[in-house]
Amino acid sequence: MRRKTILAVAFGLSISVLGTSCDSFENPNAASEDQVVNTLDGLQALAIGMKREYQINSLDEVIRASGLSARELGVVLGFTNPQDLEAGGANLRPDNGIPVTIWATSFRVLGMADAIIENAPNVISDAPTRNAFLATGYLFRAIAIGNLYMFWESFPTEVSSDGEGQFVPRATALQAAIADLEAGLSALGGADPPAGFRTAVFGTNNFDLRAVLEAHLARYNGFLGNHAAAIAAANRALSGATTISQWSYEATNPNQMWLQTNQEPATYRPLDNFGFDSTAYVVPDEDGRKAFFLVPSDAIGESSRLPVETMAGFFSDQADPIPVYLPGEMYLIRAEAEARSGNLAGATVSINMVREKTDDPWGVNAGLGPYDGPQTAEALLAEIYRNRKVELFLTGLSLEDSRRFGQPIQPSPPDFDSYDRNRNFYPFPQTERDNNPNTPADPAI
Amino acid sequence: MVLTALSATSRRLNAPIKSCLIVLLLLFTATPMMAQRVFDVEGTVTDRGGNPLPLVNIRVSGTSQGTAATIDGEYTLRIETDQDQVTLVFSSLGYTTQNVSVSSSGTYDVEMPEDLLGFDEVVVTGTSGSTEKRQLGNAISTVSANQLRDASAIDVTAALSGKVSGALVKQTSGSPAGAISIKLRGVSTINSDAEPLYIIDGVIVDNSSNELVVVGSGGVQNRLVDLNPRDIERIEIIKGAAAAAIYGSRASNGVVQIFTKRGQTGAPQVTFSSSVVMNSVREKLKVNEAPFAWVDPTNNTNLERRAVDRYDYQDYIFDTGVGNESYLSVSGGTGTTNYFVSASNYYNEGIIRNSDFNRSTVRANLNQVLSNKASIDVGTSLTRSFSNDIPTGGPGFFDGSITTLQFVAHETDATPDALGNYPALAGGGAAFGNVFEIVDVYKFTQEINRSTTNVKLNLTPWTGFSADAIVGYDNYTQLARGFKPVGTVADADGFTRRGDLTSKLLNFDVNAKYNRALTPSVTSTTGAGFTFQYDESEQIINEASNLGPIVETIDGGTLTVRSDLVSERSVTGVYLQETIGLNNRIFLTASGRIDGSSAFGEDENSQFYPKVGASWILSEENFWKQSLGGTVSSFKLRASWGQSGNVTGIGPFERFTNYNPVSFLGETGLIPSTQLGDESIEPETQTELEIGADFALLNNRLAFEATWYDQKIEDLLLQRVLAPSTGANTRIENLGELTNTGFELLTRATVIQKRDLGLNFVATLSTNSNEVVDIAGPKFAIANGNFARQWAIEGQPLGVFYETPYARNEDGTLLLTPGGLPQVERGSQAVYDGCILEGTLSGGDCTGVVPGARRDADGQPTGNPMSVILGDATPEWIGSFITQVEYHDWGFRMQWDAVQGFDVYNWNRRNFDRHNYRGGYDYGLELLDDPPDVCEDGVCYERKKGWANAAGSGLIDEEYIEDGSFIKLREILVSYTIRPSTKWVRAVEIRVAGRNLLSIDDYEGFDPEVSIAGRATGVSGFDFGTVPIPRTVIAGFTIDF
Repeated sequence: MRRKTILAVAFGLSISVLGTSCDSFENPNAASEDQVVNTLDGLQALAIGMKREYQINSLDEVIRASGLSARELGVVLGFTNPQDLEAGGANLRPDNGIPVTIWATSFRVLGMADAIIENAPNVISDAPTRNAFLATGYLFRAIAIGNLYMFWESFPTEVSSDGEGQFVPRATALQAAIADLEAGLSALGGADPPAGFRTAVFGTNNFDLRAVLEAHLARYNGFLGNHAAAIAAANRALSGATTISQWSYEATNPNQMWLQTNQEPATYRPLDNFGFDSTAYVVPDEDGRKAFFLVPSDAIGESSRLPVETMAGFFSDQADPIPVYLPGEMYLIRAEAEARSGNLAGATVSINMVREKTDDPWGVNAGLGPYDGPQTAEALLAEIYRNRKVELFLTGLSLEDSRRFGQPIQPSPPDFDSYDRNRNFYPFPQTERDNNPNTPADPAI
Repeated sequence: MVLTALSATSRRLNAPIKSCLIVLLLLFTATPMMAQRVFDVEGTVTDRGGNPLPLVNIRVSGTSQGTAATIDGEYTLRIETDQDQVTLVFSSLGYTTQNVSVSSSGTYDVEMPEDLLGFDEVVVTGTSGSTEKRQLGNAISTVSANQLRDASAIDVTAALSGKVSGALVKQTSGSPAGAISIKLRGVSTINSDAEPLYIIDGVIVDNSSNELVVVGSGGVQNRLVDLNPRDIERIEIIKGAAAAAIYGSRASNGVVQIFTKRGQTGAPQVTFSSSVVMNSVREKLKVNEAPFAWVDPTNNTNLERRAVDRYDYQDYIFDTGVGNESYLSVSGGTGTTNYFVSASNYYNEGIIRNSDFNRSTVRANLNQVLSNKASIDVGTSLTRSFSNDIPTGGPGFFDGSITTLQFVAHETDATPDALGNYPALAGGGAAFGNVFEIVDVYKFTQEINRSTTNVKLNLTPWTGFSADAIVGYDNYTQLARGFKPVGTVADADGFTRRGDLTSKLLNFDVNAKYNRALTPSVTSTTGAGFTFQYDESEQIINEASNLGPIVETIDGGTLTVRSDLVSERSVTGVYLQETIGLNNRIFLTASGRIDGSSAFGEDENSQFYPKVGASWILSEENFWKQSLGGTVSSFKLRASWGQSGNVTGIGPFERFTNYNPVSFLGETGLIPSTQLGDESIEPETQTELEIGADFALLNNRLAFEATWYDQKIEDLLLQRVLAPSTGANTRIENLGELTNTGFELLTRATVIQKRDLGLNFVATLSTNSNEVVDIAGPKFAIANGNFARQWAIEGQPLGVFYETPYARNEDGTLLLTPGGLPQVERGSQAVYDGCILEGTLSGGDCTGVVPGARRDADGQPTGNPMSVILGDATPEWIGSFITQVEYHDWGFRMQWDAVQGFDVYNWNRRNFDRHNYRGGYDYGLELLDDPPDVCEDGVCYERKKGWANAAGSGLIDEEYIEDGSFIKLREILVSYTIRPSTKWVRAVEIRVAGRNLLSIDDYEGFDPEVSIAGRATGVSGFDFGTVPIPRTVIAGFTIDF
């Protein structure tokens, strides 16, 4: 009996020893958050992932959404989301996939940028490399906020894992983006990012991080009417740039706008006359930008019945790079700031830099004569708007421009010949409203 | 050897485990042999009618010695013992166990009365060792080898249909080794499949249904098809947490434990059987037979027709499949060494032309007595199978044998031209392929190589104490290929894909049991055990397009898809169970199990699963015998309460936020998954109460087993949608709650039992009502391969059809458009949801055919199309009725299965109705000179051009949600046994059997039983592109030497 008892106790003990679970397996298919943010290699991979997320999943939706809402693109293949966005109006559904994707990918980019900004100081010891990571993080944070600014009246500027992000008015949010850009420039200081960083993270040497930060600083100050800051940043972007800056693509990660507008069957095609109401303005044939962007065609849009052309410009081939910003935009930002702050002569000079341009590094050359219209702010601003619409065709800025320049909005019922944009702002995504109690009411249009 | 196997199989098994194992194995070293006496006994075992009882299990009480009767009921056994007297225990499923005292050599003939309730039947599943059923507070179902043999099914799971109450067995595809889904007591999870845990001879086995190369709807083979049902001796099934708590985190969907045959002491017994199998299609789809086609199908006012020829492509793609099965087994033993060896080959052609399945199996089971206190069992099986699959199509894969039928107009001659080029078919377009080319030219294959091994050490070191240790290892590789040559109609660039999967499951279990009498009337049984379970899989997929000519491998084209996935998971658990018996009539059981797993959140690694149960054999109490005993000869009350979990609902790495690799511009980046991790994730917990009674009338000739159960599944895992401003889209969280309540009844009746005539009936009836109690929101569509047509809605059964109805007038007749066509209901969804789903509104708004429906000034529907609850895919009740007759050497068996009160979405018919495809029978009626009216509930409407399309393209789901209730002649069997007087052949049995010969249903499709999403929970009863279940006839013979 004694022996039995001992054995029974031994058995019981060994069972209880075994009872504690011993295992925790690492996932060989993917990296964990800890692994990513605590190593230089992890942060570099995250930066590459962040850039890809923006280029492949976000940028094309920004271009497409503004193109459909502000008369640049026509839908030629019947899918519901683009057709609804093209029709616009007060009844745009809050679950339309295109705005929802801009919203979601912007916050994904924002979250990845935050992880880089937060962890780079602790992980990277080499100062130039660390600063380049910081500047990149700040740039993408600002771009994400800037894109949200163009389409929504308010939005959170931070990702919040509890799902209760606080909405801030868009102007306040854009101030945060401007602060990010300034922080990025200050992190870079006088030094250039190491060459290895550029090719590893941006996949090309055609990326001048400082000039890109300055260009976005000019753009966002221009949005907010900070005229002096906009002019100064635009000038720095123009004078300081050592190279063009581009988003690169390849066969396995093709130019998404090429995929949508040129890979047959295309879903979208550019509208005739850059989408201008032809009774108001016809882009003259001698404007070199017409041939650059558009190939004449007799096709018409499937539901809008508006005539469309064939896409050229930056979307002709699957590996075509897309400019991060165009030099022409910097001149036009300067012109707008000058015109709005009463410097009409300066504005005219800046406009003519665009009208007479023949040496654009991207080939966007109007090749027209100088501006010869009235020297009034109103007339100059009209000229600036026309040039923005042509020079910056399908760069994603058109809805913001149309609103800022006070262009006509779609009447009800719609009349395709009488307006420049069909919405002011998008409704907040349904999934945000369903899950974030702070989501404000949707705008009327 | 065991340890070598362990370390070889586990990639990163922690060292502490290994040292733990050594300690345990040391505990179980054998004790020396001490045999003093030898009794040689023999005899015959018969039933009360005097018929010999085959294969009765005979063991020497308190030892591991034993044998089994032969097929003729005869046995011989040499008993070695140090006692003066031993007890021989004779047991057989369905008969009352007999104890015979043996104190000398000699002949001991035994008669065994039938026991329809099986109080003395010994079971092991859910108990801590061999336990008589009388002790259990829960229901347990057992299925015998004979029942499986009579089913003549290729797959053990298919054979279970109708034999177990509370089990919904569904063949979801009619492919030659088509997938089977088993749901015990309803579904208890949404996030994963609800298949039970399968254990074969102590080995936890994989029954997954991996589709490495997509071949289409219904799911491919499930891996239990690798087991030959003829090797099975017995199956035990427990159905919920109340019974399965000691299986812990793996058991909330129930446990199916399978025991294969073992060798019996005596001369070698050889069994050879061979049969021929014929499969044919039971019902075809009705296609467009009109001799005309519209010149302009889209314009309903243009009635201009053109003459066309019509073809029914089904005449070619369906083909009678012929197969054959051969089986050979040899078993025997010396008393200390017993063996069972079998080999088989099964070749089965499918009803789709050129599809087939070929399976070969080998099994060897060896039992060695080491001493009168120790024995060891070793079993191993090898299976190889190879199938030629014809893709059937499905969501995202439209050029399949069944889908293409729906997407074409049936007006093109599909045969190839003289050069062998197949024409594109009029209808939906080239993307849907040429159905003749699909069956003739596409080449989709799958090969499985599998081995399972079990090693079990049994110890009875002293009276009352027994222990065993089991190592189980299940390993298979699956290789699938799909090839469409360049230049096919659907895929001009060609397509080739190869997928490889290696799966390994390892389990190590130790169980101990100690029986003792506390007082003469009170007994105690204490059980304890430990389990370690580890599974790992690796999967590689490569796919290429832009193929060159001839070459079929990936190198013949440009790589378009590549993937490499590794998965690894472990579960560790311990349990303790105590049963107190009072006078062998009342039993009280309590147990607890603690579990941890690598899949659970860090702080969730001590999941506790308690259980309590009680049983009371009232009929053995004196007061019963004196009062009701004459009428109710046996009566047992039982009740059980317990909890268990569902570890398989959590992906091995789902608790992490995973950063996935992306290739970009020559570098590799990492992107966080859109699904956030959840470090507090834990298994879903099912709490179940079951109460039942087992009773028999008429001197045990009529027996009932009745059980009521109530299950609550809490911490239900759901994929929660997140606000996108979190930077992610979803997170798997323990959020929801489900309930299942049901009733199960099994009735057995022995009507006649005479020397040469027997007549038995068995009937089962099960109901289950399932409710989604909480899903952290009112509703969501379950996206699982069915276009998200089934929903989880609070207060409704899981998987209801919440879809668009016809617009109707107040009297229920159709509200037609001004053009005279049916249309979808419109109005305010919020009003409907408020009235029906949330119960927040009532009164004026909640009236009418569809609350919330709106009409404009002309009386036409206005507003957005509405969704209403139109049906439910969960059956109201399932039942079966089995008749068995034995007359001299003739045997007859018939089984009807009924599944009643469920709906099926007939997506096939919807496609047939659409004017983009134009292939449907109803569509064709509109083309006739004098189209017949469309009638519904006695009201008829003029069938105008566009009627079918109005529902098909306009998506009026109500048209396609059909009652799927069916009654099937599942099995029918006639056998004749010859007992020749020759010495060499003991018996020859000739049998002819049929499966699924007849179905009584109103379903307008192949078969309401199939389902697109295979075994998925939430999505069942969705018919699109699945191969119908064939009508099968099997004829063969079995010779016992």
